[in-house]
Amino acid sequence: MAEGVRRIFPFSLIAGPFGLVYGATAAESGIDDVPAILASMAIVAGASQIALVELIDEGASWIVAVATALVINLRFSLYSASLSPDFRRFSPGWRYGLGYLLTDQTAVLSIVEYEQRSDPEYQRWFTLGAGLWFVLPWWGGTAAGVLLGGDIPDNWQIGFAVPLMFTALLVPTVVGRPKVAAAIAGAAVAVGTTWLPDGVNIMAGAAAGITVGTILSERADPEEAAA
Amino acid sequence: MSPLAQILIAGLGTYLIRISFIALADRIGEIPPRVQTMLSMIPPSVLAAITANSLFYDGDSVRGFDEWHLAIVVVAFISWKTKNVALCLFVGMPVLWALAALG
Repeated sequence: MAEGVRRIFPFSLIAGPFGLVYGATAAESGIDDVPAILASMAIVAGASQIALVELIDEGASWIVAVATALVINLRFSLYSASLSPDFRRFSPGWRYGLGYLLTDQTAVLSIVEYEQRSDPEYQRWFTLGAGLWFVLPWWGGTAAGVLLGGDIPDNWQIGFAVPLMFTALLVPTVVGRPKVAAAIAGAAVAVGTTWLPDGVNIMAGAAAGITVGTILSERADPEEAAA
Repeated sequence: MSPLAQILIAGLGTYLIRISFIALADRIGEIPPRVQTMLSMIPPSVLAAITANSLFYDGDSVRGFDEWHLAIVVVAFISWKTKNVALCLFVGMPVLWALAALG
């Protein structure tokens, strides 16, 4: 558990301010404080929460608002697939409990850690530690943002936290030519398909990256393709 | 529908997406090598897609080249050289602010 906390720690420092951004956005919209704060506990995914409260505020139909949030969150199915071979060695309680905590940061740090350490006992405590340590400042930041409201100065450029955190997660996963190719293909297709709804372009990029990476990996060395 | 109900439905849906393949885990037998390779390609593919999307698209228009892109190049280089995720996160915002100050 301590290792999970240690690894998520630098990300958790950004989760607080980012929660503040979501909270302030929600406070500016017409949504009441309690549902605005509950969203960070129910959904636990910032980009989709911001989109949801903005759509609710604009008076969009509930189907459009909810569907938009869910499409943005489709990427979580990919982490789910990636973690399922390890998660199936956990009891149902652990599986479905930890499933709730699988933010991008916790899921990716877990995927990377599981490649190094295959002991299920260690793995589940790692993910629990990382998951909890990340959501606590997210909830705290949200509550502060909603209750205190106010503007975060534009020149802080807090929006940069998104590419910053994802770059920090990305770089260690790009090892070897097939994965470099997968990352390039994923980035290019996601940017080339921004005309698709938010989130769908991410899935298109991911599909392209997975396809290119798998083909190259199998061509390069059929023996080590699975490594 | 009330905002609270919409939030709870979105929360339930997001949770179901998160556990989708985890819930299927028991029905999956031995994982074929090709599928293992595909699974191993998920992190670089999806993370690069999200990073690039956030760097070049700001929600409704293309984001032109600016200090964000320069700062990410610096951060990625530091991360790649040092393998230190924490360092990369700590220096990220200050690097951006410094580049913005330089204009």
